[in-house]
Amino acid sequence: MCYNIHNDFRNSKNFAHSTRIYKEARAFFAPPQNMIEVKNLYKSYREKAVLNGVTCSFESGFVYSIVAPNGTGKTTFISILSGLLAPTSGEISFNGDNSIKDTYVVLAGEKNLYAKNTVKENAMYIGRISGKTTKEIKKQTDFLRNRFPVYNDVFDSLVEKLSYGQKRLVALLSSVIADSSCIIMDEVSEGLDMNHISLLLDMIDYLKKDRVVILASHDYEFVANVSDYNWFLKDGCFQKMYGRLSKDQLVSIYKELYTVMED
Amino acid sequence: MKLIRAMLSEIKMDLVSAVRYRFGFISDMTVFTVFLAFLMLSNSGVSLAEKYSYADYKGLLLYGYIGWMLAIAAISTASNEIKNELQRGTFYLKMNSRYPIVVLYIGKLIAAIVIQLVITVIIAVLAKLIWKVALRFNAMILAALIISTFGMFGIGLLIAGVALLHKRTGALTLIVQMGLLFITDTVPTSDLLAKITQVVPLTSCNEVIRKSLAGTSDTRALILLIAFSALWLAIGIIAFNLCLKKAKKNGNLLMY
Repeated sequence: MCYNIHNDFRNSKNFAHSTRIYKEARAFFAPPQNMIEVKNLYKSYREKAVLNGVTCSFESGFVYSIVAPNGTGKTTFISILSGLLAPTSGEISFNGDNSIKDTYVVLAGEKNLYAKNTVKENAMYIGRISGKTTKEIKKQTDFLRNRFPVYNDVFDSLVEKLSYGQKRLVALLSSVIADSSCIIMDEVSEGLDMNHISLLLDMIDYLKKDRVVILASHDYEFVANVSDYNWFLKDGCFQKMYGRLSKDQLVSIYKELYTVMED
Repeated sequence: MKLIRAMLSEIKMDLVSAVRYRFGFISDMTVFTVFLAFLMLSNSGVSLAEKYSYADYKGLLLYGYIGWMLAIAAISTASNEIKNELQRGTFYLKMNSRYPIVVLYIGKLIAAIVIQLVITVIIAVLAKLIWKVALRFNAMILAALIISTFGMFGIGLLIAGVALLHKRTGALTLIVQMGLLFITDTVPTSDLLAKITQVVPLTSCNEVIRKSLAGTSDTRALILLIAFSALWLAIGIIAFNLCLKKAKKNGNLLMY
């Protein structure tokens, strides 16, 4: 069964009660600054349907994890959200406007940045092509340098000289400069050590305050640590939606839903 | 104004990166110098003297060669850079930019022209010292080179569009770049072929430049150059945007 998350999510018995109360109370006292609505999203390649009428909404202030095995449409869904892929039909609106794609994608691996340029030059570039003035970019980078010492440490370094973990963190913080209302992270914790994971959690906690944060990851410990919502994709739609879950709960649901053996 | 700043930022990123990646610059300069030396030593441009009634055929050949250097840089900027950015994962930054993606690539083109002009100056000086080529630059020559480069950028965008859909276009780009040397009258070709390929901006550019050097400039050649360059640029932009739309529909962008 596909849940229409927009309408049915709140009534789902799987939905964590405490999270719902929190979300509703928060929405009452402080309406979300950013909201993404997905309506009847379909995507098929030739005859094969990958997404089957996904309807859901994302609000700033929360981290959403899309959980699914490889080949179930996870990449397709986040690619459509980020504008890299066109849906067969359906609608996505950012704060009520369906003519824009206000997302920033942090791709897996060492991608996302210009290696022969410094972190500062990358920040300036990303800000510029996002329509920001020098003053606005400087204000953001100054803030980030104060808030995240790791960013300050590498600010004048060439991207190619950074460690793998530093590249991931810098790529993530670049989204602040782009000022997108939604950040999509693909396997963001992959290959990171504990120190970098800890920094990453801190950054995501900061980022989600006024942005929608969407994760696609197979690192279930990380997903359990960071996610406010866990949505399980199967047969082209979200079959199960939960609030916060422990790693054990996550793995148990995963096994039940996808009938696979996991460590 | 913000659009101009975004473009300037693109230019700055590329120039700074090129300065840091000095080996690329030195390697380009070596290849272009060796290639020019081969053309000069094989007396490839002799027939140009007769065609343009201008004795310094090496000069006529050199200026055509400069036009070709800029043309292949323009094609590379569009086709190879877009493919590189897709592999590097930075293409989506441009896709989600507030500005049209082609405008940002025009910034890259300007940076490539600047770098290529530096190489051009060095090669021209070498040509003067080694082969005693008389160097002459005027507004007509400069304008023709720039207009042609933008037209060739359109052809590059067309190839880039194909690259979005079919990925492996490196060989195609190389064939086009090398083919241009021999079909656009850069290295003398038959009059018939030159007439057929006049629709290629580089062929028209060669004619404008050489007539200007020989003191027989005519506005018809310049008008043709402007018209064909504008046509190719428009075709390139439209084709690239159509291919991008199709690539988004097919999911080609996810497979890099």
